[in-house]
Amino acid sequence: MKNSSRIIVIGGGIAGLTAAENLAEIGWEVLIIERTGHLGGHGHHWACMATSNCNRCSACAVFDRVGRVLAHDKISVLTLARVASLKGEPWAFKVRIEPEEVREEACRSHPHLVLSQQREVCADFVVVATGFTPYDAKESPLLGYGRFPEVLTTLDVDEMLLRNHVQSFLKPDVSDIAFVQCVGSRDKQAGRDYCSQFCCKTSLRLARKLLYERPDLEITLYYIDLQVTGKEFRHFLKEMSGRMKFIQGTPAEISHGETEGKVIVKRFDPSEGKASIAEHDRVVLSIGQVASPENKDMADALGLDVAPDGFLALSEAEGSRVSTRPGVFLVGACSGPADLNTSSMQALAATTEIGRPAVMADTYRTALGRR
Amino acid sequence: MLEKGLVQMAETLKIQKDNETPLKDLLLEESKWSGNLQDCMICGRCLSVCPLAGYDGMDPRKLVRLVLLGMEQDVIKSDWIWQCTTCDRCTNVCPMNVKIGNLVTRARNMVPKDKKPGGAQKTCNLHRDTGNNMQIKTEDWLDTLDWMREELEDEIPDLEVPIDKKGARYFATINSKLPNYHPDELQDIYKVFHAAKVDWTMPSIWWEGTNYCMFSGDLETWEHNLRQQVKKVEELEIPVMAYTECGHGYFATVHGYKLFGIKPKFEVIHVVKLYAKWIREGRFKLDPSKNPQRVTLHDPCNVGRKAVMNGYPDILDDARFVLDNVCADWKESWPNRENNICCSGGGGTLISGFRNARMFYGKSKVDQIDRTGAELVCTPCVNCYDGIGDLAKEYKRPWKPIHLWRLLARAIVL
Repeated sequence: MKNSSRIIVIGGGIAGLTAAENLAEIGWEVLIIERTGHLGGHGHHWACMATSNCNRCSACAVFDRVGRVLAHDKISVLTLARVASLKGEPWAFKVRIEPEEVREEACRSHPHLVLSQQREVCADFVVVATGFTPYDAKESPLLGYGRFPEVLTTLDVDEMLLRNHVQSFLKPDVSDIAFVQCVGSRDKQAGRDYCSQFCCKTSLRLARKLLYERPDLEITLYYIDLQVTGKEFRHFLKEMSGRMKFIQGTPAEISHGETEGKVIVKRFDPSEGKASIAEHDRVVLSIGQVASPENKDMADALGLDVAPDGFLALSEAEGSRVSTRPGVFLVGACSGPADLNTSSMQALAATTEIGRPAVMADTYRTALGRR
Repeated sequence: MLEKGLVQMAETLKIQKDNETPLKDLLLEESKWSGNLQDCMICGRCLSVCPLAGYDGMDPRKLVRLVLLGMEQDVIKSDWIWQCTTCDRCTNVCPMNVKIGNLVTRARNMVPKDKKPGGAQKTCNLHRDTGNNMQIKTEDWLDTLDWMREELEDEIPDLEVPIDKKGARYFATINSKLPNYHPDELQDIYKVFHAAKVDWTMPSIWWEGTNYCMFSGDLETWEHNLRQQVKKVEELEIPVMAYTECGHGYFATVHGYKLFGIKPKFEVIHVVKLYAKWIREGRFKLDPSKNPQRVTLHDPCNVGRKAVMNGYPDILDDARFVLDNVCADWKESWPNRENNICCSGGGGTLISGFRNARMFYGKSKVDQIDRTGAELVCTPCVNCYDGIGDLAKEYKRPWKPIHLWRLLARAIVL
């Protein structure tokens, strides 16, 4: 590895991988710094949602991209490493990297380097792609997550699918499943007055996957308003509306009812025109994205700002991925909720900004004066 | 701007703005009451936690929508606002900070005094005119206090019950249901104060430890009663008002002081906090085996959830600490603390006369208590005591309510 990688990408999830691959493709030397022992980020936990055909969930994009990044001769990867400080200016950044305290067993199957001691590298630009934290449903105790075994999250069900354990979820006596949307999102009281943007699609894809496995399932989805943008998804929603129930209004409380192994929720029943109790075998909480609690430390280390919602702050330049510090770009969910596709698109946008000849020439001139 | 938005919405939806209806305007002026109603995004969380939702086809979300659509007359005229126990579970889960419980109180305020149901207004008037809800005369009050002292003489020969003692440390309030219906419980209170060896007193008047005006929405009388009591405490130059076990009385006092800008020269402390303090100070010798039955705790809304939400001292931890020290076997129920379900007797529903609604509401409470397997439901609130007692009768359950002072008094070894 050369000591002067020209671009440092912090974070090896979908956003960081996309940025790295595309920057390398247009000629930059890229160094990815990843905190954990493996690449892929949260995307690693998403199961493929294909039924008899592909459902465009993008889960495979993560695996493909990890493979291409590792094979690319212009990209180096450092795992179990974190950025301790960032000094200097665009075209002349000095980045100090430290070994990350090992919290999990490092994945040794990838042929990338594990940082063993502190070092400093030079960089022209920095791309931050440190991602988000999934909402911890235990923070809403009334939902019973962790208390009632019948209550799970979309992440739990996805992991079961990924590990081919879906039968432990779809036991023969399970015939009625409910999804609860907006768990952890759209909560002004908790300082998260935003839509996480991916959870409606996640639940719908998951519902279709489960119906593919068990066509007799009764599925209900409780929602506030369905955030399903994009023309393909409208079509998908139309298809699903004949196969499952959609009920407006999300329960905030889940309890054990009188029947063993079932949970109850109170919701507005449109057919009765009033609130009443419904019983379900399983409830899946569609958890949203929360700003990483480490964003504050990250912002301190890199000289960035944290927005009131806890995400890293972008500059005010419209459509730009540049942060409040020139030369440092934010992509993916570190700057706000984003799904896999949005994260990739943000990474492409940052690639374009960094690679734009005018910007390069302009900043290069400034940098030349200083060097 | 908010109002302009509402008018525009009403025009767009072809809903006529009714100038006779002041609820919405008042709410807009005083957003401290209700939060910004327009923030409501019909998420439905309020209705899902409301034990009364669905009764009469009404629910908290619908209530907010009716006001937003300019149909506040439908709200003011409905029985539902009187059946609601203002437990504020809805407000607690509202992601947009809409204060639905306050909306109900304000709606009750808009109902003319002669149209308020049941004893809602009568209670306020009695409190205003006689200093307590049950029009107990001072001589009867003093007789009762003395009678109960005599009954306890055999057990505690040196028992004193000071009346109007100037400069005492604690001024004890008493819920007027005690002298009228459960006078024997006064003995428990005597025993606790006596064993704690503190300088305390009972007032001869304005001792009432409730304030139903908060429930009937009679703001003027609410304020009047508070000011009279403040005057009495200050006359006696007492530094601490020990608010005995009544949830709404405590909340109506601390919240009322804030609302009406009353700045008393004394501190208001809920008595459960004092029990805990006195136990920590080692003032009691306690024997938990005197309370061998399985006990569960019911957290009163006004000293739990509503106190926490509004930033007043709550008793959630202290009540548990006391139970740890006075009971051999007590078990938490679920949901508890800020998430607890109302006893079904809150919000003035005990006197507004809609028993069926109360029993509908109470079903979830009954299930909750059943799951603990408790024989006794401890609740440091006289209202909750009656609410839970009624549920046990209606649903033919073996458990009984019990005040914390009784459990404590039983465990005290003199």
